[in-house]
Amino acid sequence: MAGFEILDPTVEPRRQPLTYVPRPDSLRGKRIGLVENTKFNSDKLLLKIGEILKTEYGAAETRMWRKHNAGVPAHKEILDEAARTVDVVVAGIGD
Amino acid sequence: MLDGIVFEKAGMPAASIVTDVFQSTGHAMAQSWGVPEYKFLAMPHPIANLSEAELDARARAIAPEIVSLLLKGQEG
Amino acid sequence: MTARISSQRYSVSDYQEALDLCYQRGWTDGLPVVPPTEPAVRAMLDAVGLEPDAQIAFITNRQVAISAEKVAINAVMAGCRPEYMPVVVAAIEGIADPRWGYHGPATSTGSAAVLTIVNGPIAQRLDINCGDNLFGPGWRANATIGRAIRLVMRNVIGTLPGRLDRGTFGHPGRYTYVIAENEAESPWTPLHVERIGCRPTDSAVTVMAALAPMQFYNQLSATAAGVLGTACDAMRYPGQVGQPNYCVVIGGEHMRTIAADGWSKADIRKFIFENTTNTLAHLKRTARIPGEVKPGDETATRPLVISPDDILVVAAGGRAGSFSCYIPGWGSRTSSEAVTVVIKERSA
Repeated sequence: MAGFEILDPTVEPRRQPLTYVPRPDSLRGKRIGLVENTKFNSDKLLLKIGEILKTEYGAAETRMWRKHNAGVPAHKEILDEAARTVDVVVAGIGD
Repeated sequence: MLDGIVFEKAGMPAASIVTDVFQSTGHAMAQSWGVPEYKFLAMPHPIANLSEAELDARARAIAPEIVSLLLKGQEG
Repeated sequence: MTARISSQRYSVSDYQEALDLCYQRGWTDGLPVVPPTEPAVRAMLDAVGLEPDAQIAFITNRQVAISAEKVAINAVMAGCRPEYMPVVVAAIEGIADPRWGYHGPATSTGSAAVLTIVNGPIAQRLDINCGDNLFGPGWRANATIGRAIRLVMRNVIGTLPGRLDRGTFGHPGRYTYVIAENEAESPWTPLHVERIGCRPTDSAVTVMAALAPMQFYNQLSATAAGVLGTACDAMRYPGQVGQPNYCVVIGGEHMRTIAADGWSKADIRKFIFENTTNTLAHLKRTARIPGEVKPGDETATRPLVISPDDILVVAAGGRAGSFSCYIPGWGSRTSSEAVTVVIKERSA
């Protein structure tokens, strides 16, 4: 049998430039967005984290959103509202 | 994990948390999105069956890491 | 068709070397593959009349574009004949549909596979099995179409075990999970006609994120309610509770018994929906849902799915045997739902 060529069945992900948003110097007075992924206890745990950020790091307030489900990123309404009402975001817990 | 990337793209500093057994999945997802170096946080698995006290301990343990990622950002 | 195929090429001296390369690169599902040569890939593309760079789908949550060329390469590797390609393409369109919600069912520890149900004239033409040994081996179309879907998931969308496929158990349907409906013998409206208003002469594929099939046995009943009563008793408890869909596959004997009572698929769905509810107390006691049992929970009930229409009824399986089966879906109604896509065939 003579030699032959085979074709690569895979796709290489293309690198995408991601410019990171400038960071604040501290969380003092900052509004914290909490985004929970619908898994059981994820809301409770994020609230506890939010409390620590307020009492120990001086964050002003927290606000929580719930995603449609754990398999999708936060949807547009969350992104829009968060952009208007919070300064930084903590998301989880789960992949 | 993806939420962090999505918020970052929308102009908000973000910290994403996964449980440790999903770290490889988080990295693969970041790769798929073209940002293989993207940093996120991991805590012990699982979460769903923890008691109040255990949840408190998890929150306390991860809080400094969250603050560091939010303030120093991806370069930190 | 002359547009260039842009995939990287690897020179090999013989079949064994091609196979070794595919294994080394992690391109297979564990079984040997057919080497994807350019002529074989071209034949696949010709069968659907698509240019290599035509985009078949885009998985938003993975930022992955799926080209006709990559689907064709993986279909060759899976062992598909070119005439299977329209079915593979339609199934890929289905799993990329936002309603199917690719990332959830593909990645979840919950281990869904892509149950692929083919309807319409193409099923008979391609000899897609709808009878004996329905989910078992022996038919090239069933074996290779599902395998091609899985290879695209693996090689193009990055659905690799331990990385973006975290199935705790997986199940054998992840090798292939393709069936056709037995429209020739079925007394009922075919699935694609019911779901998206196709004409019976159209061909379509329905993809559902699905766990493994479970069969139930009823040799004694001569009535529809009798047979389906057994189905309901079997279906009520398994699964994760909250599934978006169930598929119920009615085998030949049960099909004739149920049809003799004059029941339509809508009647079947309604009966199953009404007879598979659980009390909240039971679901809480067995830790299917969180919370303490409260007053009223003993009588408050929850249905298996949100609506009777979430139950897909398919006539298929052997003519003999007092069995039918049910297949729980994966996840919840907000995370994935079955999608039916019309198969686009080149007019011959």
